[in-house]
Amino acid sequence: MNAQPGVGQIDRMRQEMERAIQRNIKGWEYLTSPGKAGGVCKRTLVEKRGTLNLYRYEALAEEVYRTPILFVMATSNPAYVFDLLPDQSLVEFMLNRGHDIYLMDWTAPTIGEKTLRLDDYVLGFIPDCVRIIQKETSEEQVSLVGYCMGGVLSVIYTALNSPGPVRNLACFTTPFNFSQFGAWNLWSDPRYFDVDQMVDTLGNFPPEMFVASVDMLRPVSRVTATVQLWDNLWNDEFVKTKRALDKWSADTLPIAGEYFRQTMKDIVIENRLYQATLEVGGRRVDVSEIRAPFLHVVAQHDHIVPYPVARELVEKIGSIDKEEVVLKGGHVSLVAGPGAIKRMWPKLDQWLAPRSV
Amino acid sequence: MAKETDDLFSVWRSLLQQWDAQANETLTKVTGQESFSREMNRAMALNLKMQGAFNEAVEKALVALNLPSRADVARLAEQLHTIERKLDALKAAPSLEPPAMPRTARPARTRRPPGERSDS
Repeated sequence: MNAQPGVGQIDRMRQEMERAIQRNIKGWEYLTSPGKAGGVCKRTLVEKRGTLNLYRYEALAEEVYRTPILFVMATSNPAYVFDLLPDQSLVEFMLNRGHDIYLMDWTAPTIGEKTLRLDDYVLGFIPDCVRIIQKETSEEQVSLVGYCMGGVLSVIYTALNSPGPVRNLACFTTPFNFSQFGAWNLWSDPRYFDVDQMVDTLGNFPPEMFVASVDMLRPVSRVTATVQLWDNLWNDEFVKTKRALDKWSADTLPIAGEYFRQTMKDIVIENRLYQATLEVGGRRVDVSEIRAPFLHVVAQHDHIVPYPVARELVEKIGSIDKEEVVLKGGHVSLVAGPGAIKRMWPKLDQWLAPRSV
Repeated sequence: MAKETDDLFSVWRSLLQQWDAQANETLTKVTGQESFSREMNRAMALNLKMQGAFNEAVEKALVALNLPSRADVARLAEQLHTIERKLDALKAAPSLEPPAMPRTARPARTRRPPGERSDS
């Protein structure tokens, strides 16, 4: 926080003293109240099948665009990051701009669901949701919006069904060239990492391990974030957003065992999606088959999916109408938080609107 | 001089950011080494082996005590889910559908982008 021009030394000291007092008052509030996040907009559960929940959001505009949107979330995290807080909800923003929105959300897979494979997500859950939306809206085509590994699922589905029901495909921070992950490549080196032992012993991949591996990418950032939280305790907006995102991170879900095994072996270690040798349900996945208009929004400071991992997706996609946008922000702040409101959300609306009529 | 004093708090915040960047860089040099990956995975494999052995022992003990294991309860839950799904499918069958309820009016799907709208 820079000193404002003309603010003298005494005023600056006074400001910091006031903030120190506010920190004590609000710090108490922080410790004694639960954080809130998710569920801003009215929605209806349209389909529930095991780990899958398909929601339809209530329209906020009197007239909506013809093509409905289906948000596809990564299976490792709950989808309320799209509908985080009042005035900080991507879903609310898009509804207000006249889009008709459906969302695929996940609950923790049960022990019985450890057998779910990539095929179940790409050939089962996504097509089923698309069929339901087609029936509900009487529209043949749907726009898919996928985030991170939700983007990977969306890309695979679109590639296997091209031309097909996907009218537009938008992805956020979607990994593609998995050989460029750096530290994660090293930690998952099959000479040292035995994914079979892990899945056979644990069933589903535990969220604590996933969060720990993300934390290890920036080992001290959790400490810095706590100090920054203390520094900003006087700032209600900062605290509200930070708590909501911390809650979202703490709500990380287990990953279905077989899906994790298949993803690690085929997509991460052998990089088959990138090499166009991945097979799902006995069919080869080649992203150059995709013809739907494509948008890839990537974050400049994303340390989870660094730019080299995401960069080549737009290049390899077969669509003529395709675009990559690099925006300021990190892996999460690209889609949620004050920066996203100004940068990514308007871009998504402006890109989808003319392609949804 | 006054400016430096004014910026004292900013300097502290900037130092915090610098420390974050430098400490992360230093530590990721350690975690980015092959030996780190090897030892971390070795420790994890050992942990998983112990956990596997423990799970097996508990499973055997539960069988001896004639008690259901977590896997048994999960199988039962899965069977219940299957019944639920079948009931849902039956409810959705046309012959069992309740008389048509007036559907909440949905907005028309005729929206045009701002630049193309006649009213804008």
